[in-house]
Order: sequence, then C-alpha cells, then structure tokens
Amino acid sequence: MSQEMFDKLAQAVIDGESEDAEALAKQALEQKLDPLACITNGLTVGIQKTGELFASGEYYLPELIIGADAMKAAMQILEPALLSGQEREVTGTIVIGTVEGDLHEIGKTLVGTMMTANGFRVIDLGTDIPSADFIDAVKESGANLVGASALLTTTMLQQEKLISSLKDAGLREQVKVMVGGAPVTASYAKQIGADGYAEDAISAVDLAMRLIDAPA
Amino acid sequence: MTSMTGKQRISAAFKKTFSDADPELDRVPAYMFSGACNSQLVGSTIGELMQDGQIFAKGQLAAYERYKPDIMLMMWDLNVDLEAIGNEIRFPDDSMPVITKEILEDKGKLSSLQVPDPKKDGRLPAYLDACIEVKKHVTDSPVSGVIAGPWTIAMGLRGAANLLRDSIKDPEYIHELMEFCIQATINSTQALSEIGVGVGYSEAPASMDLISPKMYREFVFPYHKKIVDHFKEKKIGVGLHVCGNADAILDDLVATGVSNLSVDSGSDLALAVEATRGKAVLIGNVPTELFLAESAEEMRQSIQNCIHVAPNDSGYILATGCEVPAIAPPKKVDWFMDLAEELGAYN
Ligand code: B1M
Repeated sequence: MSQEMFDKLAQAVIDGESEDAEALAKQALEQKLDPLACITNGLTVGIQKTGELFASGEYYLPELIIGADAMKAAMQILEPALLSGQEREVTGTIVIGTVEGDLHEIGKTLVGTMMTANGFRVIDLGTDIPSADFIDAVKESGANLVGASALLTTTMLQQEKLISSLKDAGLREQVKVMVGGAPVTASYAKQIGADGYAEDAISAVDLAMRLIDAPA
Repeated sequence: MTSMTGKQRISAAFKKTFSDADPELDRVPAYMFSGACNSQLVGSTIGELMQDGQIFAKGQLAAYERYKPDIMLMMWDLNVDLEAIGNEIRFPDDSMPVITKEILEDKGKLSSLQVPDPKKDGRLPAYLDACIEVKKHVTDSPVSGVIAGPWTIAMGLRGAANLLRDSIKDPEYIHELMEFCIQATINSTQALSEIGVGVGYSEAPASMDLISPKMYREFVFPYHKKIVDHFKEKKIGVGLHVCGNADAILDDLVATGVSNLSVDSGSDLALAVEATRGKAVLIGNVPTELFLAESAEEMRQSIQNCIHVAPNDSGYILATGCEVPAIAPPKKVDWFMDLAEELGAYN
C-alpha cells in the first residue's frame, strides 16, 4: 500500500499537480505512512524523473517549474511531520538567488530545481537580491553552499561583491560559492575568488556535489 | 561608387527583398542596438539616462555622430510600457532598470489595468520626445523606435515563472492577458509611426531559451499576427526582434508578416536566410559579448561570417544580435562599424 502512495506522489510531481500532491501528502499522514519515506521514495523520485524529461527535451521549462511547485506543496505537509530525530537526508543546503540589479529569473530557478531533484535543500531568494539578504539567509539556514546567478555584464560585478561581503561577515569559510549565468565564465569565477562556475543546470549539480564532497 | 547614406543603404536592402530590383550597395548596411552604453559618451550614469529622455536623446545623438550607424535605433529599456501600466521600477546608477513589483503578481488585477496612453503615461511621452529630438538631427539614416512586444509585456507584468506556470495551469488567462498587451504594443507603435519613426517590437522571451515552439504558436503567434495585420491595413510595416535561439520558429516569425526580422546570436543565420528570403529583410546577428572581448579579432571573424552567410539576392542588414552591453567601451563599439566598413564593401 505504501508503494502505491509513493507512486502517486511521484506522479503528482511529474504531472505538476500541486493540489493533488498536497492532498496525497495529507492522506499519507492520515494513513500513518512514514513521511520520510514519502519524500524519498515518492517526491524525490518524481522530481528526478521530471528533471530527466527536461534534460531529454521532452519537457520544457513550464513543466519543470510546476513539477517543482508540486514537490514544494507536498513538502510543506510532510516536513513538519518528520519525527524528531528523523531528518531528511539532504545532499547539502544551498542559498541561491539572482544578484542585485538583475531580474533574470529563469536560469536561477532552473538550477534550483535541478539541485532539489538531486537531494539538495534549496533556499531560493528570488531575483534582484542584495548581498546582505544572501548573508542573512546563510546565517538562518546554516547553508554550506551559496549560488549567485547574473545575466548582465553590469551585474556580474555583484557576484564579486557578494564574495567579499561573505568574507566580511565571517561566513566565507562556512560556504562554497558557485556562480553562473550567460556572461559569466570559469576564468571570471576564478578571478573573483568563487569556488566554482557552472555553465548549465546539470553541471551546476555536479559542481555542487564536488564542492561539498558529496558522493555522486 | 561614392559613399551612400544610411537611408539609401536601408532602402536598397528593402528593395532587394520586396522587388526584383537589385540596387547597388557600396557596402553592407550596418547598425548596432545601443542605448545604455551611450551614457559613457555623455558622462551620465545609466540610471540618469534611463530616467531622463533628454539625456537619452543626447546619448543617441552622440552615438550617431561617433558611429554613424545606417539605422539610428532608439534603444532605451524594455520597461517603459510596463512602468506606464503599473509595474514598479528601480533605477540603479550603474546598471539597467529592475522591476521591483509586478502588477499582475495577483492575476485578478488584469481587469482593472488600463492600456497606457503614450502621450501621457510614465516615461512614454519622454520616449516619444526623445525620438522627435533625434529625428530632427539625424537626417541621413532612418530613426527607428523599439517597442516592447506583447509577450515581453505579459512576462513583465505577470513575472516570468508565473507566466510559464499559467501556460499549463491557466492558458485562457494568457490569452486574455495577451489581448490586453497587444493593445499596449499597438498604441506605442501607432504613436511612433505618427512622428515618422520606424517601428519594430522586441520580444526577448519568445525564443526557445524560455518556451517551446508549441507555446510560441499557441500563445504568441496569433497576437504577433494581429499586430502586423493591424498595421498592414494602414500600410505600415513593422519589424520584430527575438533574443536567444529562435531556430525552431523562424518560419512562424516570418509568417506573422513582419517586414524585417532581427535575430540574436543564439539563432542560426543560415537558417534565418532561408526563412526570410523574399519575405522579410534579415537583420543580425553578431554576439554582443564580443563588445567586451580583449581584441577585435573575434568580432572580425563573426562579421566576416555573417556577411559570408547572408544572402545577396534578398535584403540583409548586419547588426548586433541584441543590445551592446551597457559597459562596453566606446572604442569597441567603434570596431563594429569600422569592420562593417572594411569587410562589408561590395566591389
Ligand atoms: C549558482 O550557480 C549557477 C550555475 C549556473 C547558472 C546559474 C547559477 N545561473 C544560470 N546558470 C546557467 O544555468 C542555466 C540553465 O542552463 C542557464 O541560465 P540562463 O539564464 O542562461 O538560461 C535560462 C534557462 C534561459 N535564458 C534566459 O532566461 C535569458 C534569455 C534572454 C533572451 C533574456 C530574457 C528572457 C530577458 N531579458 Co535579458 N535576456 C537575455 C537572454 C539571452 C541569452 N541568450 O541568454 C540577456 C541576458 N538579456 C540582456 C539584456 C541586455 C537585458 N535583458 C533584460 C530583460 C529581459 C526580460 C525581462 C525581457 C527577460 C527576462 C525574464 C525574466 N524575468 O527572467 C534587461 C535587463 C533588466 C535587468 N535589470 O535585469 C536588458 C538590459 C534589456 C533592456 N535593454 O531592457 C542581455 C545581456 C547582455 C549583457 N552581457 O549584459 C542578454 C544576454 C541578451 C543579449 N543577447 O544581449 C545558465 O546560464
């Protein structure tokens, strides 16, 4: 019976049905199913499949976005129900956002979704995010990764500013910083002292795994 | 052959596309999309140039003097309509304007929105005045306006991720929204054509970087066609620019009936040549990042390649794929027109 529920949860994510996902999560708790297993064997399987469909070109961005929405909707029900001492195993925690002055939203969202699909806890701050907000989020979440996206040549400079602000706040040792976005290059990333650069969402996941020494 | 004016070169490109005539050209017609980066020519910040139409006009005139493009494109920013409709915008000193509030974050507000009046609302009047001012001084080259296209407006009002969600969850809403947005694009286009400025609209987010070809056909194409048809009746040709990779929809873009199509460096110029031949003047597509390169070598190769691929039997205008980055040094913008001159000469 639990496998049936896991499959339904996964399917709700693949279909991007937030309301179904939320209702199923509630139902699962009523049936006294293990919330952690629902996440691991249901939602995560669904978002992974969604990511694969996107990578293979079958899904476009909209399907990916609503898949992530459905996952989030069910997580909001399941996470608070995790037993004390029982923790969702996360690959790592990343605070991600598009830097100040930049409103390009999609690349950052896509990276965040692929990270979620690969077991990361993702705190997506949105767009036009000042360094100070990144720092607050790192402090609050205890993240071990920071991801900064910039799509304009003028706003790339904010990635450098973010790194120095992290240093000033005494957080630079705690986090690995990854940067990306169309005009950003590996050599620029190196020059500003970032820990890594990724060209697209899939390599961003690989990079994050490498940076925190997570088993692939 | 003595040197031609921008107007003569552009007119020749249109004749090549739309008639059997094969007028002579001294060199490939060429221009760049520049606006923000001209703040460097007039010693203002980007923020000042974006908020003051007169500084913008001064920047464009300085750019015309220095670079002598064959079309003087009035590239301000794509938020002008959005702001007039109700989005809130912040103007950083040293970077491009940013949307701080999307008016349709709450989608229910659509019914209360007003189509902006270009003579009254937001920065639209300042934009028109800047166009009038520039047209007064630029007599050798056509002056052309840049208007946000309906999909760009829709995305700006609703937010990018939200609009993509709607495409699956509430497609009817997108159609309603697009009906509203084309009114804004049509009004701005109308106002610009009344002052004798060329008209074209820009659709940054209509390419396959963000949407599928199927989405383009369902949510965008019908509205592009409506705009073009509206102006065809008035015998006004409109142009279209699409950022990013539009390879899969090139035939659709041409089928809207636009008189010129400008493609970004993400699109394949050879495919665009096939799609536009005899149907629309093709414009493109030198990558804008080359305006930040160490040397002019890559830009030289890119321009050479464009000229090599572009048709001789149908109209073509060499241009940047998109806007020159705001912090591109003027010296590197010089490269572009110098190279067009050097490599584009027809013997
Ligand atoms: C943390 O670690 C990581 C790791 C990897 C990371 C990462 C972080 N972040 C991204 N990645 C990487 O992984 C992602 C997934 O594979 C990838 O993300 P991308 O974001 O690259 O890819 C997305 C999945 C899809 N791609 C996109 O979403 C961007 C596509 C293009 C066409 C684009 C769009 C759609 C838009 N735009 Co804008 N826009 C362009 C873009 C052209 C292009 N070819 O990139 C670009 C970025 N825009 C540009 C410009 C100039 C502008 N735009 C502007 C506005 C817009 C729209 C609002 C119309 C819209 C954005 C909608 C939105 N809310 O997101 C303005 C800027 C406003 C501002 N202050 O930010 C404006 C200034 C235009 C104007 N004059 O008003 C150009 C920048 C030039 C430059 N070098 O400075 C541009 C390259 C177009 C061009 N060809 O010239 C990778 O880069």
